Amino acid sequence: MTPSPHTPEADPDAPDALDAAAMLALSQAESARVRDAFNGPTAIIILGWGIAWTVGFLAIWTVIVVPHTPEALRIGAGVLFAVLMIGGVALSMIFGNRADRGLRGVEKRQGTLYGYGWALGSIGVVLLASALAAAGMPLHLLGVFYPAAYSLIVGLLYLTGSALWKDRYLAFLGFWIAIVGLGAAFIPMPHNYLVMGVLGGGTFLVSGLLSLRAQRRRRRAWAELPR
Amino acid sequence: MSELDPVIHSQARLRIMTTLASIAADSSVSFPRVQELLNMTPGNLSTHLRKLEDAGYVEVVKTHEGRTPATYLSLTTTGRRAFEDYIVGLRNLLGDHA
Repeated sequence: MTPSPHTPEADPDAPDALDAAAMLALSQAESARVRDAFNGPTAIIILGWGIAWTVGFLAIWTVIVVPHTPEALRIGAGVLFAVLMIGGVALSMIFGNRADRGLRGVEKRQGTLYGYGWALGSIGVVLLASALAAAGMPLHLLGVFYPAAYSLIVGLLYLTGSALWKDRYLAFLGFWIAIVGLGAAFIPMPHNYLVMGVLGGGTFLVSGLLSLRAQRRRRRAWAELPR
Repeated sequence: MSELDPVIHSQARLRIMTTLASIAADSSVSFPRVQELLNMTPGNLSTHLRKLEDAGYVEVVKTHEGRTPATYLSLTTTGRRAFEDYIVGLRNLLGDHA
């Protein structure tokens, strides 16, 4: 929480207006702060996915490429990957819900539908994979299918998010993740995991950190305004 | 050049108007969330809201969510226009003195 700003106490008519430049700066900083309050959790969600993808995919890639890895470690990497993905979903749900707290109307509906889009995409990929496996697809190919299909869903939803909240960077991220995921599908296993971890997870990691830093800078600029 | 709107030309009310203008036209925000965003006491926020409501700039809707009373705030069309005019007025003023 930022320290309490000075607001006129009892008398709403007490003149406290600053000069034009300071009032304009106050309005601009306040506007940026409100946008951060509603969209800010996105940075934490992206950072969370950055950690999950980087650590998860690199762990799986490592236990496959390093010769004579004990069975326990291989299983451990699989479990770690699953835990990180579930953690990512949980983090997204918690912070996603917090973002549009107190909103009502069209923006709330947009946020709710967007959340449903994520749920549908995530569950849909798992169901489709199960159907393919049941239809006879060799199970090792799930290692090609899952990262590519999931990246495509993530990419498309980021593009949707960009259109909804006029966030151009989210569009870049959407295109990039879809391209990385689809590109990785053409790279022989297990090196597709390396691509996913470094180019996919790495991008999320850097983007999340940069967004958080930009938010902190805006908060500081707001706190330093003359009042 | 026209005068700056005295209803908006106060730090607290400019901040309230800016916050509500940041939300889409057909959306509203709950009183507690606005209070949290602005870091204002409920009394302070209510006082300034009354002035903005009297001017026809802000719509205050009292409703119920389950059995809990809830208050939602939004800018009226007049309020959104007044806010835009105010910001343009500030820019003009700055341009005049540049």
